[in-house]
Amino acid sequence: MKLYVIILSLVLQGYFWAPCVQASEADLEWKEAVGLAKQGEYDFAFMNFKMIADEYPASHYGLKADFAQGEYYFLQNNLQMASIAFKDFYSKYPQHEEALIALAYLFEIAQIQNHPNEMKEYRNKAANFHQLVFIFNDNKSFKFLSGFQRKHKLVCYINKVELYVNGKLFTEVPF
Amino acid sequence: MLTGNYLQRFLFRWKYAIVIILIIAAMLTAFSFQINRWIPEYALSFSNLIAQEFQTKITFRTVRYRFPNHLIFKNVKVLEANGKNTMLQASRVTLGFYFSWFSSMPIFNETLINDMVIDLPIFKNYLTLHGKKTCAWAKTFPRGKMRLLIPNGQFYPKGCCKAKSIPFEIDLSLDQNHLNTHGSWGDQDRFNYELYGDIHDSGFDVSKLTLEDGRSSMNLWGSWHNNDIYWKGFIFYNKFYILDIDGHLKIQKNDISLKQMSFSIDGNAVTARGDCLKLNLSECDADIALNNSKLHLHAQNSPQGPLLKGSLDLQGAHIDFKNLKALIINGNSLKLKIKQTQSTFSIHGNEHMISLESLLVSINFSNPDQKDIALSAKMRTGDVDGHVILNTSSLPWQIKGQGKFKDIDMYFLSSNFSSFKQCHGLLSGNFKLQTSKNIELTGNLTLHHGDFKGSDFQAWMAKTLQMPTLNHISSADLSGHFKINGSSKMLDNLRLETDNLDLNGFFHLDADDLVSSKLSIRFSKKLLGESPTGRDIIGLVHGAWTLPFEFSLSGNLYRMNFQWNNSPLKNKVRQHMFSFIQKMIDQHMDDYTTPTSGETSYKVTAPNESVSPG
Repeated sequence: MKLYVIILSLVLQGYFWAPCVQASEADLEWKEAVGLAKQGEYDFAFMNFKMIADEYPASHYGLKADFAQGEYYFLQNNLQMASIAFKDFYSKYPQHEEALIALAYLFEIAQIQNHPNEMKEYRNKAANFHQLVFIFNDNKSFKFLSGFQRKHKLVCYINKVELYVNGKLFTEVPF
Repeated sequence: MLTGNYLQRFLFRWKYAIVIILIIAAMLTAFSFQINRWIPEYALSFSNLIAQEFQTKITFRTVRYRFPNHLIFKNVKVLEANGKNTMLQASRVTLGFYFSWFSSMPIFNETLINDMVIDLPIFKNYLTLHGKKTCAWAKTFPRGKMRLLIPNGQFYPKGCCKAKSIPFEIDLSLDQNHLNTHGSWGDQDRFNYELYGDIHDSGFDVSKLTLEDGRSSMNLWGSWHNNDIYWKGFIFYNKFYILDIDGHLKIQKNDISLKQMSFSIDGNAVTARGDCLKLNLSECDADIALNNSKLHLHAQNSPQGPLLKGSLDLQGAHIDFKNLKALIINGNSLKLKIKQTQSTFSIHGNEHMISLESLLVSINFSNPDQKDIALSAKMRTGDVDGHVILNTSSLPWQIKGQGKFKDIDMYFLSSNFSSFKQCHGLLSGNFKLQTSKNIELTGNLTLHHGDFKGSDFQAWMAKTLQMPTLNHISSADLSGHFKINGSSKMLDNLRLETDNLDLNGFFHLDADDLVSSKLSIRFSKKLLGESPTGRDIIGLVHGAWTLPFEFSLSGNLYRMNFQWNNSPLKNKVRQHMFSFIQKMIDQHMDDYTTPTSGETSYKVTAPNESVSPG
């Protein structure tokens, strides 16, 4: 009986131990990536974010690392790659509020590239993202700090979505 | 002496010459006299023979011979066998002839017919009965050079002297098997024609058939052998180019079959095929395909006249029609009477259907560039009347129209709009239709004694406002101005009145089903009391039901965003409600609608709070 208890406890320890090890490794990678981003070493930070996304997709930092890849390409003005990365992000996390931020990025990219059909597509997706009811309020907001340490604030109105980055209006998606 | 002999010999020779001349003259006079005496008898017996053979009667006033080889008939008439109706007549027919060593009969090689008049209905009737026999007889003529000239003929299309005659000219030459004819017909709208071809035992080949007037021209070539007619060519008609014409018609004993017919009109391909059983058109099927459109016609003879039914597939729309009757008046107006049409079409993947009964359509096409169409129909309980002008001067055709509808029960539109499935009420109004790049339909509508039940919008309103009564609205009067432009729809000046509510506003829906709407709704005390929030409002604001609620709607049609806009009523409610209660209500509404399963919750902001960007 005792033997069974010992074996079971060992199995359980092993089961919980592996993610803990993984989590700590992802945590270290994340801290390093954020540190590099703060120093302005965006390329090296991107390499770390990509590694987190590839190696630890299920970790707490998986979503942020995925977002950071789109953000990196956007900051590098590589709009084509940024568009691909944000599209992947949107399809991977459709139920998360960050997906609406990705849509706002995609709308802005389509606007810069002067692609009216894509603008329309992302506008429709943004309009369908929530069903909002305002009785005494007239907007709802959501904050998100990205891997590159840029403060994102999403403000949803009944007929538009505004995205602020570091306190400045980044884009407006009217519908 | 010598002189005397010479004179004697000279006079002797002249005497003989004169005698010979006199003898020849006498012989010619005798021949001419004899031939003019014999020819009428011969011509009369010959014409009687022909008349008997072909069930006609031929009369002429005089016939005479003209040296050297001409016969001249005057006042010739070809009558029906009963001798009453004249098919053909001419003031003068000149026949040129010659005799051949190989034929006992004279061969007529030249015919000139002056002032020919044809009574077309009688002539057509005769040809229908005896055409085959006449053609077979014509084939027995010896082949050689022949020419027929009719310089100033005229025919009466509706019978002699009943309407204006149409002049025509024919110059036909036949050399062995080769046929060459040209001429014209028409007075003001004069057509010139030209035909070159070769006659064979099995039929003939047409190497060129040209028809042209000032505006149009047609060039065809082909063949007719035994039962098969083939033709190819091109037509320039009224600014349209009809090219690559390729057709095959098969004629059998009781069947005419259009095996295939194809052409392109200004780049649009048209194909057709059909079958007619029995020559009296007792049954006929035809399929016409024009780009993405398909028209199927089925004609059937009935005691009431020919009946047409069929279907039209037009860019996603399918129209079935039964009992179509058509009548062309004066060549410039078409009347259609259709007992029943059923149109099914798809908008954004949704199937819609419209049934019309007793459809009357008048199409005036006297102006080649513009068709004037008037139509009226019954639509279950109501009527629809309309007038459409179709501009065909360029592709795509432009449509302008207007009309009105009256007392159409909404229930019968339920097949088109599923939202009306359980709705009743008599719908009346007017509309204007215009097509340019998009189809634009505008108009006004009113609805009396409306009964709305189970629509998505009602369900949404009842749920959002927590007023179950809104699921069934009765005794409603609705009015508004509608505009459909392409795929976007607008309802302005919207007004809905019932015992329980009074609604004003607008509702716009774009091509992607995104809503933009502002509504002002005044609820009765009873209806407001149904909602827990409404009851609170009644408790807070005295006479709250007398003030309107101002709402905005936005977002996706099927899960609209909702906002209670600032208004005197909302301000009064705010004054009487603690801020935390307002937040609780908002939180409650958030829970009430389906929230997304995001990991982070939203922070709500009151309208008077500015949104801090940081």
